[in-house]
Amino acid sequence: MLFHSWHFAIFFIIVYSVYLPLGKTKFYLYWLLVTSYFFYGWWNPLYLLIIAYSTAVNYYAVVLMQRSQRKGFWLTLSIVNSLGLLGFFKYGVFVTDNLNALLSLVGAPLTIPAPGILFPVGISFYTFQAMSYTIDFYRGNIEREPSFIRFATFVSLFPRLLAGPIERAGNLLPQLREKPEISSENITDGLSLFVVGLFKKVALADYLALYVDKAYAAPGLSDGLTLMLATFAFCWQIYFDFSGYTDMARGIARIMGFNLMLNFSNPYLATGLGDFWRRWHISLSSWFRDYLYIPLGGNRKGKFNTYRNMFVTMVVSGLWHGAAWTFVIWGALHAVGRFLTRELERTEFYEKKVPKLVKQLSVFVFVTFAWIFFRAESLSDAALIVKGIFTAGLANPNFPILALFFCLSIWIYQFLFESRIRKFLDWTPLKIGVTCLMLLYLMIFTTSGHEAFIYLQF
Amino acid sequence: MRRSFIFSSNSIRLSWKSWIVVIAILTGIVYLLPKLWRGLEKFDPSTDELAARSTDYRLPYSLSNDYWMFTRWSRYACSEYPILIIGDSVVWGQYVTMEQTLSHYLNERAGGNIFANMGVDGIHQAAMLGLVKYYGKAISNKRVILHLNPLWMSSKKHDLSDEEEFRFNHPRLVPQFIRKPACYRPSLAQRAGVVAERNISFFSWVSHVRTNYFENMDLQNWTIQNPYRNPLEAITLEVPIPENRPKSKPVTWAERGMIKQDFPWVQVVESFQWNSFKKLIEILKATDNEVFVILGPFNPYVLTEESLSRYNDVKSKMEEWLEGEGVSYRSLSDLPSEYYADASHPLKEGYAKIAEELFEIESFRKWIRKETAAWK
Repeated sequence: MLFHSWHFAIFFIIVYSVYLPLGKTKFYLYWLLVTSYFFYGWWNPLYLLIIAYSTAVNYYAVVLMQRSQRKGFWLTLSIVNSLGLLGFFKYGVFVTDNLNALLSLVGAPLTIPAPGILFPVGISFYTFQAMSYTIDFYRGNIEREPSFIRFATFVSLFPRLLAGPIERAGNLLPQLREKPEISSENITDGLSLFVVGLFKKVALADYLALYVDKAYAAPGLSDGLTLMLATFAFCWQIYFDFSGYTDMARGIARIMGFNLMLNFSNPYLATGLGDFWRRWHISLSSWFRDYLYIPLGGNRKGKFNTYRNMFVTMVVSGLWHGAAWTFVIWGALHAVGRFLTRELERTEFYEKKVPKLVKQLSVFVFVTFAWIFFRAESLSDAALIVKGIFTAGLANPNFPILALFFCLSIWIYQFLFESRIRKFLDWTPLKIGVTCLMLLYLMIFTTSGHEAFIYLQF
Repeated sequence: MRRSFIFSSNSIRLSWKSWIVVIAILTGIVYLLPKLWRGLEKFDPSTDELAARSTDYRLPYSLSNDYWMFTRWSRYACSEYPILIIGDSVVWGQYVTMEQTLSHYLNERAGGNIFANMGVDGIHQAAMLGLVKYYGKAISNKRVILHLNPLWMSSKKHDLSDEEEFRFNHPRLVPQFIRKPACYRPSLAQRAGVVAERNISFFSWVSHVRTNYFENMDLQNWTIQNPYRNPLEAITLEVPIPENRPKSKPVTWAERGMIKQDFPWVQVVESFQWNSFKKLIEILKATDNEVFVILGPFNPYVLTEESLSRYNDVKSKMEEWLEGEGVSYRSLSDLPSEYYADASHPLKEGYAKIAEELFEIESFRKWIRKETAAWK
């Protein structure tokens, strides 16, 4: 059930009309849990067993931590369990494929059968969210949640269940302890977020996908300029797709009285790769910072260890996105880029002499280049695209001017938003005009087809 | 205690007052734009330069799926013609020019602008019902000749009573939820879109814009096909002029190499198309129209002996019902074999012959005389 589908519209109308009167009673949590499980079970009812299991293990691990002196043991057990779940469902095929390749390389007459399992959508998101609760309790950052129903709702809350934001227990659980505040401001805020998200997804991401998919499906048949523009288009496609999803998720949650964290903050205006990761998928990058990078030592133990920790964090982050070597390379590339920009940022010349716009464009070019590995179907395809961009010549790329216009307009809008003339963008008639144009564009010029969100596969 | 909420990384945050303004603007646009468009987009069949005579106008073939244009054409036809002929490509004239259609020969005999060609390519009876019900609301208090092409009942597939899913003509016109054909399984979104299009003229206008200006595509796909064209330039505010030539080569069915067909035929009691046709008659009558049904033409030479016998059985059952309901009708006589282009479409000689046959019928002459001053 995608947010931009009729199924979801009907689902939400029913859910919300019961939720409104229930919001003032203690039963609203039960309703949220039931509807969230229904929402998830819509994809495949078997997924419910996995989320229920993951929820129960993390919840009772904390119960046992509180009762026992062996807190570390129960934490380890719950983390091993969560990572085991992820490993089994998400990386099972990847691991067996690679082991088989290795076995064949050494000539061993043995093939490990690949687990024939479906990948449960959203597992990476809710597993990380549940883990953060257990780890935060272990660290003494939060108190144990006494209600299992509330905790299960925290893990499965449907607006953010499939692709985040990965909320922290410290932010969302307290909101679930109170009666939801459904004010007219929440509703209008939610609508505003939802409309922008819908436009990003349907009018922009799905549009760019038409060009990207064609070029990336057969990279060997495209010229350098086409591949370059397809990569540029993918750079924007993935941003519009994922940030559009997040806007819709936050909008729906807001309408229901919940505040989910900001997940994107104009990432293509970043002046360094560190800055990029503070703006891109913020809930995930901050998760890795708090639960992997800092525990590894962060930047406290010298340059070598800092870079080692960064490298590990980025590669694991790459693997989190998908079980393929392309994602590992993507993560590693970001790690290398991070080292370089970190060193550059420390030089006086770079800090004071290099114009901000040059820094922003450099980061954009690097990030765009790295997306090649994220989007390519295989490592060989990625290599073909990189090679093609530099050697396959320049032909007419047939890149739609309208798509270019959209990308550049939004980029300029973001520059203005972060500039001193931001107040101009807050001018109400302008906001009303832009909203009308977005809605009219959606009504007149787009189809009713539904492309799934890219991040649902993670 | 509520936590602080970082709204977003853009400024599009509207208050409820602003939302009311947005809703008011959009409602105004949705309501007014299709009406304004009718004034902006030139559509006057009487000045059609390609039609030999203004009476011979038919909708351009490329707009066969443009129901918003059908609405405009039906409004125009209702104001300019006393009698409308509604049917599929047999009425439209698949193998003939505009001056060789049934409406042309009938007008020739009547000697004036009497009969409007409201044929739409591929419009089977179930679709015809939807077309008249949702897009032909202007058709009231008129005389309507309804063409019934028996081909649409020649098999379960044609009849849309097959269980197996397949693509068929004009799915946007068949029932979407209740009593929808078993072979029709679109997504909920598609069906909801169709219902919205039928009931809110803005959406059928959107469909018209896509069909007429963007090669039946949404803007995004159109710009992928035409990357450097300005979409605004594509909106020329002109309806295409119908091409005055046959859509398919006008040769006989034998020359076309057609062999004998063993159509199984669907019994009228079970037929989805026939039941739709009956409902269509009811709807037309309910809006004070007087209906005259033309059953056929149908090429009997293309059928095997067994199939022909089954066809005659089906036909007699339909005649029985029309008779019983007091609906004026004519079961057309068989044309000479060389007058058929395929199983159901006549060639120009066939249309002339049908017009001649109709004018020989006293009841038909009486039926049109009721209102037609130009009748001689």
